[in-house]
Amino acid sequence: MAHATKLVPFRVNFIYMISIIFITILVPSDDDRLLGGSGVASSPFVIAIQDSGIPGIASLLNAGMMCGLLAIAAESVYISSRVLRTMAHQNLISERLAKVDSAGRPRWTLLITAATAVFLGYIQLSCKLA
Amino acid sequence: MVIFLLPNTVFAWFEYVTSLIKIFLFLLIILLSLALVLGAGPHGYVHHGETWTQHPAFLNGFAVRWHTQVILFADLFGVLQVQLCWLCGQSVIKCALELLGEKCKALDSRWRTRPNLCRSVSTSSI
Repeated sequence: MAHATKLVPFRVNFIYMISIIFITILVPSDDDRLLGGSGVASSPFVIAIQDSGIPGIASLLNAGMMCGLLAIAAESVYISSRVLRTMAHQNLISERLAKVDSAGRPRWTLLITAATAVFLGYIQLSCKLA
Repeated sequence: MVIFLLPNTVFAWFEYVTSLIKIFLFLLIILLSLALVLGAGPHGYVHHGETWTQHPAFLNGFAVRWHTQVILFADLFGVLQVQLCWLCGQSVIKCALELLGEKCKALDSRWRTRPNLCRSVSTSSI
């Protein structure tokens, strides 16, 4: 099995579990800011740093989280489009969707995935406004 | 969408860089959280030898309920159990693959010693 795969349990245990344990110690579960009571849903990590009064670090964390979110969004579009293309190869959906351009990108499946993502994004926005 | 209009290598580099950012961000969060627990910052919590249940995060009646703690620990135990299963499953799969490999080797040597059985197989692939 690949070396990266073997490291997954250790990564999950070390990085995620320890940070979650720390955050449960730092932020009360009934903090108004956690559930967006102040108007903006905050990250518990940012709340903990804001409470301690250290300037700058909260913005750094927010910037890092934006990078992470961007990467996750790109990964989701990438994986969904490739799954659609594989389905087209297996004749589960129209074979036309399996076509790629000169650079090897499945443009039709990418277009469908992106359109679905935008549509779902707008649904979430309209729910918040209602 | 701009990233998908560029070559695939750009996407790969983007994923590489953002993954590194995420890992370093989590490490920073862990170190920072440890510092905050110990009371870092201008508004940091000053410790006076109290127990961990007397910290601000546990003064909302959440920690004093014993059954809540039991559920939380059970949850944590469940996560550890899943991790253990992952590791065990990994070794079982490895053993199975090794056994399969030996079986294939034995089969292969048997076929090699009895060339009559290989008539239908192309010689270029042996």
